[in-house]
Amino acid sequence: MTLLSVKDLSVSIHEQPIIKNISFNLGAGEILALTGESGSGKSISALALMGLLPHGSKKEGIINFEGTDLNKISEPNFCKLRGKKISMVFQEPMTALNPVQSIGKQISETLVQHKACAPNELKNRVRKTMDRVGLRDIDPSRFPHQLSGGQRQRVVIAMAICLEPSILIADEPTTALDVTTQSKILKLIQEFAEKDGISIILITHDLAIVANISNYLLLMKEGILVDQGQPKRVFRDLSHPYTKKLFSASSEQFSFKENNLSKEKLLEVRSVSVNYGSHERGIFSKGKSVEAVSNVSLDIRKGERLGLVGESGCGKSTLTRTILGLQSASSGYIKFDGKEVSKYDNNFKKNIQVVFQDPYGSFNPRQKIGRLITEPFFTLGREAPSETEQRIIAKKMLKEVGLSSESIEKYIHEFSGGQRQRIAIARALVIQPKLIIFDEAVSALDVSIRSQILKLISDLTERYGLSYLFISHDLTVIENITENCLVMKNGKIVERGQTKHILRDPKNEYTLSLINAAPKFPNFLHA
Amino acid sequence: MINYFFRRLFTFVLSLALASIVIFSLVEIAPGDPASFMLGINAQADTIAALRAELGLDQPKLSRYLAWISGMLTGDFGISYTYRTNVTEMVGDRLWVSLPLAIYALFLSTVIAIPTGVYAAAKRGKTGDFTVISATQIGIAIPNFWFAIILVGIFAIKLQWFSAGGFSGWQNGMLNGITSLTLPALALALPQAAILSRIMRSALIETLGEDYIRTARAKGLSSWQTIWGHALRNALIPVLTIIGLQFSFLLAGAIIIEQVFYLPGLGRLVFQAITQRDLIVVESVVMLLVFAVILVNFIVDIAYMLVDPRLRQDSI
Amino acid sequence: MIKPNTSLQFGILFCLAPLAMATISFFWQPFDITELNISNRLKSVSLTHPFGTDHFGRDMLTMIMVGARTSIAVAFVAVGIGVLIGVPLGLFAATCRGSIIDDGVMRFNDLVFAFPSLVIAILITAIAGPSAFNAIIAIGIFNIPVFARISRGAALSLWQRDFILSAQVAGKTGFRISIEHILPNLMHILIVQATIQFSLGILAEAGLSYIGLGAQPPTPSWGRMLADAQTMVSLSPRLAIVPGIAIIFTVLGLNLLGDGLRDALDPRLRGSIKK
Repeated sequence: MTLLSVKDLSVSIHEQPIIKNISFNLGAGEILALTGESGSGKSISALALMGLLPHGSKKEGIINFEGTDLNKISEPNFCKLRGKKISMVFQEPMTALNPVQSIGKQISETLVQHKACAPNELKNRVRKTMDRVGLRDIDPSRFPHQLSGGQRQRVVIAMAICLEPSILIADEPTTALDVTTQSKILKLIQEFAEKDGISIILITHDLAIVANISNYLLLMKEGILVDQGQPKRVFRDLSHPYTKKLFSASSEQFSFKENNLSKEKLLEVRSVSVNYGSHERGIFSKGKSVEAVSNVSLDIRKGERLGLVGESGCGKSTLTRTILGLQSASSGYIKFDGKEVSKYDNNFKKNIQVVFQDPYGSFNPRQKIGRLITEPFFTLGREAPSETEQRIIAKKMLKEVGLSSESIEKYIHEFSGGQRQRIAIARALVIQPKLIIFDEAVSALDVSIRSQILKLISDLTERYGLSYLFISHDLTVIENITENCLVMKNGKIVERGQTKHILRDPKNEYTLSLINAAPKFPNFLHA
Repeated sequence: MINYFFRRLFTFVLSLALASIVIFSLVEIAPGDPASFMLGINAQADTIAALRAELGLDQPKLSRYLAWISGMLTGDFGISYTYRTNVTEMVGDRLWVSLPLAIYALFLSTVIAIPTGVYAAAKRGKTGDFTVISATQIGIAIPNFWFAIILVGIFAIKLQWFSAGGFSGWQNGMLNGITSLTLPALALALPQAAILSRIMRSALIETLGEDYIRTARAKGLSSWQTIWGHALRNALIPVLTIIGLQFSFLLAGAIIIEQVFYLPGLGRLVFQAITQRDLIVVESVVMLLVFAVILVNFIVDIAYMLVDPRLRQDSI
Repeated sequence: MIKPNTSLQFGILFCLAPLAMATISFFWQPFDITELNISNRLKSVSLTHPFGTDHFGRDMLTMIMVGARTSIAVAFVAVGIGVLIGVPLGLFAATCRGSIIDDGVMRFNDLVFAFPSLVIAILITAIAGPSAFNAIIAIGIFNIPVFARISRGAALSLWQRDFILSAQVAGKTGFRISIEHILPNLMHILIVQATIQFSLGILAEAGLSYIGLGAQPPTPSWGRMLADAQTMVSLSPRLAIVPGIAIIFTVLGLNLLGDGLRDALDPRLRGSIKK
């Protein structure tokens, strides 16, 4: 039975077409996956269905829901549907809740708005809904900032399902969450479809999730529906070239040459602990300190490619900052090339570089690329080559990372996210360091671009004989690009060894849960 | 929460202490000896010395400062050099003009600004918004004393609805007092209302862009319900700060307006006291005004805590 | 809805008018305003006197032109004081964020903010005697915490950005990073704030002159013109209206300029306009 039928839906914002003529049907109890890379228009489609498009947008076409066209319905009547018949869960649980209202009040608001129950029953209903979404131990009088990301997402889900809507639209509901939380939330959403018969429109960029839980998928690219069908069929046939490209990028395994690791240690981190003093230190409160990194030891040998896996808050960023000398360790020491690293150690600074996660925040927007890339030469002091030579090296490096040498005269906002990460890599390579730290360097990129950047990293480091520490929350990335890896949890290293061994046969329970939670393509595809 | 409160309280006391030192020093370096000023040019040196001793001006600076502070703390502001009357009483009298004027103006400004700001934000990008923005743009540019002169010209001289100046006092009835404060309050309130309205508008627009607003809309709330139920409370936080600042501005910054309307308020008292070298009055009134500013800021900080649950718990 | 460019264009236009008047007045003035000509008093608007004459028979247009000099000079120097002292202070505080120095700078800011500006301006002019110079100092002092606070706040958020981290990895000092990376990125905020403070400076100067604590006679000033006009309001409202309009016009122009610049200089908006 068709519940919702969309015909020729087009959306333009400020006269710019965002979605072009998409049509699809949604059956009762079905999980429809809407997928595509960033900018494909999948989120805007969801907002169009909810009638919540931003100011200055125009939509055309027919959205038929239970016999009414949602494109023609009046705003007051649409309000009666939202939250009751069609509801939505958003990507960012950290900001999706009103910070100044208790979660109980926010959940009950849906009930009150649609006059779903008598005031004296309200408390009961809220409790029941919270139990339903797995918030059994949470008091409704708590405020959003007192909950974890996963719990907040459950609150948002509770608000969306408390009236048992016909359709639940989930817009990247797990993208902002850790992988272990992600699998729990996805399971919960799946249950709504199976047990309660709620139809789900799941928007996600992750093809493995699509393959695992959806009944039908729609693949979008630049506002156009390029491929659709049952995931089993779509991923087996790979009839559309774009589908094929995305699929191979997300399931890619590239092998790299095994290096002959020398015994020589390049970086030696020994029993390092870092205490963060409480931020709000005052006369009336003694700063309570938090141990962000606790007794961590690691070695990077010459030519070694080491991975560091951990979820958010595990202390990996603090560890990076400590290695870079931007944060002082409270105990332990760090040696580089056999010498203990001090703040003024030039040999160390000359030989270490870093590539950050955020392609937008990593560059000064007011300087040209030429100046941005040559900044590391500053560490060389008097040994630095002349400015003309620096520019020649910069141009060469830009070519190495696959950009034209004319880019040197441009500003950073003229480049896309993937290109920016290329520039970041060029910047890290100009002074030919011995060690590079990649801090979640591909996490913000779309899957097809991610695989290109990974390939680039793997090629270049091989050519320049570099060692690196690759920090990521994503096991598949680590698998592809490192030979050894460490697993970190709550500031401690819980497992270490060869990447292959760890992924195949983890000894630690936490590592196992990480591996199990990571979305993987189901077996039917490989058959 | 207790921690936050005590931290604010500490800042509050520290600011007051620093402010008192600054005021005292500023007045100390002001040229002109009050005693010789009081006695006129032809006074004998020994008469001046006698008066200085009587006023306590011959004491060392530190003990004069301490005496001043302890006097302030017990509500004794000293004796005016010029008028030879109790400063506490003088200030008390003037406060009965300045305080109602400030409250009246603040009331007008808030009543005008909040609805127009909310309206403009709700209609952002449309004609209604444009009208409000243009009006506030002009409102900010108008000097309040000029507006006061124009108001006098129209309502007092031409139409004769109000008196052109002076204050009849509260003894002739509440309504009488309010009437004579209406034009000054209006003149003070207009530019303030323009500023406040713009801040209300931009705070609300910013809040309306937050994710939780979309969440509320997804629950089925209409756009006005969302503004009322979710956006306004969050947007009021910056507005509250400005209202707090405006109150202190209105209390002290009314000097010029008091001048236009010949109102016997605090501002005029300081102005006259400075020109007459009545340092004890200057010190006391300025300290009182600074106290008001710091107190209002303190109250706003505490109000934050009540509005925002994130501040209610101590950080880990 | 007003387009950002429209604000900017009107702002520039409005600001150029008083600036041009002030500049021209250095070379040429329509009438000599140092001479009083009582027989010519309170002449209404005419071709020879576009704004009429005042109660001493002086040409109002010339008065406004020369008055513009005072207003602009006072406000400009006062903003300069705020920028030159406040910005380095704010940048310095942000560089040693969390330290006692940072705390000290912020306390100082709070302290200055706690003083009713007008009262202190009166106090200062009373201590040092009323003059345009002292008005500049009095207005300028209150610009310092404004610029210190705004540059500290913006710098703090910039210090969190990754590109600052990579500059640190390159071994650059806090001072160097502040000059090379922080300052250029908060320039647009400072320019906008400077136009706002400029307009507030014009208003403050007018206020101080109005109560006789700004520019002293015979230097004409818009605020003084208003003070003189007040007693004549029933006789000739024009005397109050003309300088008032001059002030409103200039302040409005500066505010429009500020709004326009905010949109034109915002790098985020600039990116989207290009698309």
